[in-house]
Amino acid sequence: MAEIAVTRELVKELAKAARLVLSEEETDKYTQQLSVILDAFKELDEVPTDGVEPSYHPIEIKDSLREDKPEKWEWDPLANVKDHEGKYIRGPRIK
Amino acid sequence: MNSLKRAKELDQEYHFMNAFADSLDSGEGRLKGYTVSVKDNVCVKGVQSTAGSKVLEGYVPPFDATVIAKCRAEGASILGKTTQDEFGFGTFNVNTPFNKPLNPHDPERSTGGSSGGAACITAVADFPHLAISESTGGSISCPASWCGVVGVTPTYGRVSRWGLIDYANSLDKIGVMGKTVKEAALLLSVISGPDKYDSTVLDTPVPDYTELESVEELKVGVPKEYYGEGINSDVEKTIWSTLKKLESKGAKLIDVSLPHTKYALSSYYIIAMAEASTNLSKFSGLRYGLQEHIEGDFNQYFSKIRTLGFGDESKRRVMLGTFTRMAGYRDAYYLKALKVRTKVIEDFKHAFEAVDVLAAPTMPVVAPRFDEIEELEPIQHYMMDILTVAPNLAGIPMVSVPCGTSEDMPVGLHLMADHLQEHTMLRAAWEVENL
Repeated sequence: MAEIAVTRELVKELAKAARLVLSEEETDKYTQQLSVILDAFKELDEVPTDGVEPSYHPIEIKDSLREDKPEKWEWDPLANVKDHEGKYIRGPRIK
Repeated sequence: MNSLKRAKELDQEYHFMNAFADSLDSGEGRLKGYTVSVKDNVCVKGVQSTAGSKVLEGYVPPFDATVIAKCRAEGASILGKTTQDEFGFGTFNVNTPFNKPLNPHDPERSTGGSSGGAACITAVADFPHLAISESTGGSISCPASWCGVVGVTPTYGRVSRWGLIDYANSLDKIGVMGKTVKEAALLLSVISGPDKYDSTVLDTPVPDYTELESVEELKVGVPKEYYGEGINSDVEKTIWSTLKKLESKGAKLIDVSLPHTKYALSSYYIIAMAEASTNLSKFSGLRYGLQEHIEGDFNQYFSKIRTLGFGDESKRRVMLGTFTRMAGYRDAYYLKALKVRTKVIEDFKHAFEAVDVLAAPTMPVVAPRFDEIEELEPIQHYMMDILTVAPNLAGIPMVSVPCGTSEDMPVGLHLMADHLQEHTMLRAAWEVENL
């Protein structure tokens, strides 16, 4: 694994991508913790994996298809939406 | 006294529930007379389901998860939702803004996590009770071990995940807890099997797991990597005493090696965090759970909701998962972890050529005290899962069965079996229970 220096800038970039707002104090804390954790992950470099296939699932998953016909839900998908007009969910404005 | 009233009384003392059903329905079937509690990340129609997160506060599912529908069809009374670490992110059931359960054997200690509430109520219920729980990296085995109950994690794909609030899709398994192997086997028999809403469920026929009998010449593998350094010596002594008794009953103990065990922890956490960070992107405060007055643009609103709604550990995992999937790092972290997972699976497959089950301590120590947990750094939390992540990564079935005590606290023996060999594994666990 490439040597990675976990900086405050990187943590801010990750938070932004993950849609999180961090305080300065949190940024410091996560910078230190992420550095320790990512450093520990580097031990995987010791395992030779040339030619090894990745396991996206632990078992073989077979495609499972059903007939493509509409089904009516018995439940209301808007049941937990606080702000909607008819079947439309209200969202923030697009600038 | 009915079980709803009694459970509420017990909950006052142990804090194992997040929400109760208004009333208990029951019917005819294999679960008639049983009250079933449900981990908070499995949806129950009409009962608040938060997965232990503030971001889902107020969410009331308008439908039942498949496992709940199956329980109701067999006459079970659904009690309500048991407490857990937020989204399953934890080993001590302390990472949640809601109830933190107390260990029934010592209230100053953790129940374990993340299915802490499930294990706690299973231990203290004095009425017929079974628990639906869920494991991603050890969340059934750990609390079952620390609370002294039976916890079964089935093969990945044995049980439908439809209606589960996901943590990591390639790792999540809904499983069960009970006071005895037979009771846990009963609930597993009910919830296993195909579901048209979950294409990952295996269509292999479901045996009646409650048919328990001795396994002739049971071959028990003892993986050397699961003993010794890092394992409390008194816990290990309790495990060995159980294995020796099993041997005296005719089981054969066989030394085996799972050489990639050491790497399972990093592989597991990279994969779990990568999948969690994508799963948690759906929490945006528009469709369910925490919703605030809408102002600002999409990014500002989503960030506000997620910052308010996610706890410390969730934020840490979302950022780490975002990192390991980022362009430039993806191959070195995420893809590498998936390849190491293949090696871990191969280790198990090789071992199961020679043995029926593998036996190890479920947890390296007994339940820690809350003041001890407060002193731990995040990485030390993760290291507590050292014995449970490998079988979870490989998707093989496992059961933690009580096998004695250390420091007056329960110790669990962990039995692991090959994919879909739940029945042999449960028979071996039943044998341990009857030693």
